[in-house]
Amino acid sequence: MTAIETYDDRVVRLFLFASAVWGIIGMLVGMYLAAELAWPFWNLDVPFLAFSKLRPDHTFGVIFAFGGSALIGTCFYVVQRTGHTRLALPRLAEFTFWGWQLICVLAMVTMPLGMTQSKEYAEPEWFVDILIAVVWVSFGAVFFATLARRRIRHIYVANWYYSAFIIAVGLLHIINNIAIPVSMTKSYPIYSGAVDAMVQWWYGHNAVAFFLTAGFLGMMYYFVPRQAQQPLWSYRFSIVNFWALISTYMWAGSHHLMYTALPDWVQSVGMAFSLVLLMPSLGSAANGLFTFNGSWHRLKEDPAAKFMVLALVFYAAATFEGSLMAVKTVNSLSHYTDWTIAHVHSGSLGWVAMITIGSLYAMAPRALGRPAMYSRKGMELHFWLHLTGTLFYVIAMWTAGVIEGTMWRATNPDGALTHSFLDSLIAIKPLYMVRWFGGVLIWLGMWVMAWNLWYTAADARKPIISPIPVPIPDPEPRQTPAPLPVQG
Amino acid sequence: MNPIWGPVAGGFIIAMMLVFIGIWVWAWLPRHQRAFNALASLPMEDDDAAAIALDDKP
Ligand code: HEM
Ligand code: HEM
Repeated sequence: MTAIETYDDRVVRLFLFASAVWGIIGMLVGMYLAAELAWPFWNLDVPFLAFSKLRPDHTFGVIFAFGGSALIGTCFYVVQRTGHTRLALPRLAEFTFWGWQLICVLAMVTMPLGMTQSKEYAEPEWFVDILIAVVWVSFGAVFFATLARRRIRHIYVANWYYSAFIIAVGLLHIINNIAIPVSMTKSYPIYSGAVDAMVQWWYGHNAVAFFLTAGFLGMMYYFVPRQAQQPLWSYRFSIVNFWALISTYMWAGSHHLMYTALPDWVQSVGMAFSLVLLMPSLGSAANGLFTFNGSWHRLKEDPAAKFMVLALVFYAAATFEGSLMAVKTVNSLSHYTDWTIAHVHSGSLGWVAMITIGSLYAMAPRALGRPAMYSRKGMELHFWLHLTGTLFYVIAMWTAGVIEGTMWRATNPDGALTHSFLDSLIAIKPLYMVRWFGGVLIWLGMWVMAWNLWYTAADARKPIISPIPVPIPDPEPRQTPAPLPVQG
Repeated sequence: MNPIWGPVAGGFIIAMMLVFIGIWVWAWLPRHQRAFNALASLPMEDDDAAAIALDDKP
């Protein structure tokens, strides 16, 4: 055989780079918001710097721009390796990249100017939403076309998670954003009242479930065994967890609407399904952690593996906490407080960001044609900055949440509230400062990663990368289906 | 609510439990073991594991 097929990592590299840049931007905005909450004068009387205008830029920037770029990039990387095939539809893949970046820029510019649907995590107006739908479908087309031309009969579990992520996010996005435009920059959703709230939190919760969980589990199921240099602890268990996860998550959304106008039984359904979720959540965390059995020593040498192990620990912690918060009595204390913010960031800084960073460190040298990352000391420094920052952040916000919750519910014997709202704000102000400081450490860590990637990408910038050949087995006699011709 | 929903919900729950158990059984069937073992090792292919970073001492 003379022809050689190689993996197509061009778009992977672009997404890798974009993810690092958006990480810095999105977390800079988070840091700024944290500063505004601690020292309100930071809104500087500039309208688009007001907390409410800037907040969606943080959530969109970290979830969709940083997380989304990392997810699509690793997805294109993983589906090639686990299918022994080259990326299908390379032009469409390139379109996915530029389309996604355009969406992120458009959203991040229009939202602070006040063009918003006021739906959390779905703020961008209708013209951005249509673009998202188009790009998302093209992403799906590239992924499934690549999957269809795989040379391995079985579909590796990571691809199941990526598939669920692609299909569910497309569905959620379209249904939640059905709206009637009344001008170029304004539209109204077709839902109203309690129905609107339910659709919004069905979307909001499943954005957590399928974007921040299923997608990143896809990443985890590939990069953890790879970095541990051990086979996945239990492949069979991963299948059970997959089906349990995707069939349960869809029904848990109403736990965001406890004690609201939603029918009581709908709230109880959300609570019950949230408790069932303990099984697949802890199951996947255990599967990942046990995969490190026998190679714990790698943690000493390999900061990428450290990121992954900590990510799994935070994943277990955040999901356990989430199921707890879905219990109505607990939610009556935690809702509206910074406890929710602590939960969000133990999930997002602990789980999402750490598994992403670990996977980027694992993937970058391979995708950039280098034997290894440029600096291990840099990775090590990043790890400690990120971990300390995250701990500062979540411990401060847990404490703040419990202080707020208990102060708000305290009453005098005559039934009057013991504390004014202002009292509770003054009480937690120092904790807001601690959270800001944690954010600074995390943000500095992102710069260390960007610096490290820049030097690792030396060859890519020249461009002198030699592409990696696809391992193609010799065809067997009368093989069905017929072996794929070599491409590229 | 119409009382018919009680048995419907009950039937559905039992059906889902059976599906859940069915997936466990399917996943543990011995005939899948070889393929699953091969799949579990698939990610390890993609590595030149030795080096973690260029500033490491050889
Ligand atoms: C089994 C898993 C989980 C369950 C049952 C769960 C449950 C909950 C509950 C009950 C709330 C509070 C709702 C409220 O009082 O307003 C919440 C909020 C939230 N959780 Fe989770 N959680 C889980 C995992 C995660 C993970 C892994 C992440 C992410 C990375 C995450 C991200 C969020 C976000 C972003 C919110 C805030 C939503 C908002 O109000 O804007 N959750 N979750
Ligand atoms: C430098 C790191 C970060 C800092 C300083 C930071 C700070 C903040 C602040 C101040 C808020 C507003 C809280 C409030 O409304 O009271 C917030 C909300 C939020 N952040 Fe971050 N953040 C960081 C990283 C991240 C990352 C990496 C993610 C996701 C991958 C994330 C996801 C979110 C989400 C989903 C919310 C909305 C929570 C809710 O509505 O309940 N953050 N963040």
